[in-house]
Amino acid sequence: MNSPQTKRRTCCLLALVALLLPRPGGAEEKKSEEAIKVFLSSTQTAAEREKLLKEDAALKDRSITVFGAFTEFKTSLTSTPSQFVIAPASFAKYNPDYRPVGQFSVNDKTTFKYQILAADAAWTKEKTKEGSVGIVEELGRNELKGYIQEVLGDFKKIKRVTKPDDLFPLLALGDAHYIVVTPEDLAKLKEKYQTKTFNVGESMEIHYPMIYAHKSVNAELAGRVLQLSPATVSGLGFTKLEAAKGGN
Amino acid sequence: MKPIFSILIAACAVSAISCRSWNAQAKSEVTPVIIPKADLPADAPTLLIFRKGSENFAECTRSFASAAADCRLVDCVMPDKMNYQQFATKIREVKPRMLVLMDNQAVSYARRFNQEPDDYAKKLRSVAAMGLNLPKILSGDQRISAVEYEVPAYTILTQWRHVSGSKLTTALVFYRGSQHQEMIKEATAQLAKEGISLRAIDCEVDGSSREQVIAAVRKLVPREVAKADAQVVWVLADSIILCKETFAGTWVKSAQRSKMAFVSGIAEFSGKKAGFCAFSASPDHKALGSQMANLALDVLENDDEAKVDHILAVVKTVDDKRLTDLGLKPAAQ
Repeated sequence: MNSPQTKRRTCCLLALVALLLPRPGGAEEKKSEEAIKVFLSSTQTAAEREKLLKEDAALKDRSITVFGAFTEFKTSLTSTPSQFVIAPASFAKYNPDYRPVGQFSVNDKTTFKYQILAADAAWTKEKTKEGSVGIVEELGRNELKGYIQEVLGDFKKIKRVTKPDDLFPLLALGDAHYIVVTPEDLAKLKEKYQTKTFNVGESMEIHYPMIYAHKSVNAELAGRVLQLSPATVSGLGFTKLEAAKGGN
Repeated sequence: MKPIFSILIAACAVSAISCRSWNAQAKSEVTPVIIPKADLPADAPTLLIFRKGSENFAECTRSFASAAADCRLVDCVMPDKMNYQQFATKIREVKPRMLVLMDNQAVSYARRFNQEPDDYAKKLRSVAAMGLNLPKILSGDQRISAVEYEVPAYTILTQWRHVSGSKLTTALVFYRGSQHQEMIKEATAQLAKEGISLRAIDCEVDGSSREQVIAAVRKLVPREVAKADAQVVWVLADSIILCKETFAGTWVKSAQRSKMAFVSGIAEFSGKKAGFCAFSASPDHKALGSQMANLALDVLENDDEAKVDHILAVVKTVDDKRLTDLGLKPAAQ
């Protein structure tokens, strides 16, 4: 009954099944455990930033995905939560499973103010309730509405774009009355576009983007991602990365 | 000349929509598919998508579905021979809150559906994209909002200036007065904000028939390009100005002889085989889906007035050889 041939066949079959079955602690699981998902509003492409992060020794062997659009980032994070996230400061407010562990800064400042611009001087600060505002999407639809009201004030309508580069055309082509942009992105966009804009106002102080750790991540592991090289930090558009207050 | 004609045909002369893929999916049956989404509430609005089958439409649809995460989506790939009755029957079966239209035929059928006598049909709202001349077609329409598919001159020329690092004060364009008057007026005003003046040449000087326009293009394009009093030629996508009679003999020849860069909104024109445009800024279909979804959600939430927005995100294509021929180096992407 159990001839050597049958035994060999059975062994081969079992080996094949073992290869095909998902293994606990296998490559896939390790990949998702050590994943870092990144969404930052930037004039750089997602591919450029992903390359930069993957070359950093502190992130060696980690799976890094940089998203170019917020909706993709949100969908991915909802289906597979990652250990770490690099995202704007607004992320913490709507994602209680994550805590800030790293704070990026620019020239020793950990906060900035969004600039509100108009292309037509008639659209003043007093008229924002009647106008539409363009902003890079960094939160879900309803969350963004509440966030804008909280940090920028009332606008009649919000126009979401996927990247800062789309803000100037939105304003210049007349599809929005105002745009909201970070000082760093504004400096880069001014190099590219000459359309005259009027500074209408600014937001309250907002923290620069942060590194967040999932609640399941211990302090020791969380500390490791703070060792990004200065070149990587600079390449992402910041000057320093330090431990977030109250983090870890 | 054969490769050049195939490039013109592949670009559908005036758009980046692939005709080949349209034909490849021709079927007589219309089978809508519900795009699966987890945890949708029972009262989630249903949106019915009518689109063609090529990859550009599919990419736009995937991105739309991701951005309109709280909506139930029914995806209907339109066969080439789909008639109005089939279109209307699908709407009556699905009873969507809104239509999503990706193609001129879908827009045309939706406008006809809005003329039906019942209240549901009269009031049914739509968002449209990936159709040509939508601002003109939808002028005065109260039920269909849209994203224009043609990339604005503002975007093409500012992106070109950035990519090439070249000085840009004057751009030359050839147009048809009967079709593009408003577009040229708008583009002139928008480009003025960037310090770029537009020298626009009307190719209907001797008449507006196809033959008269072709004759004018053959005469005007080489003559005006030879003057070299602009830094760039913005190639306007138009099915008569750019046709098989003028493409290789007039347009490509003029571009290759000129020291001015030719730029357009059609990626195929700046492909390596074309030897025509140094640069193109063509629609980014992924971002377009997202822009369209946001427009749809605005309409659903606020019952916004119908309007046509400009397309924002683009894919940049540079022909490095043309750039080198022009003595330029790519400065940035």
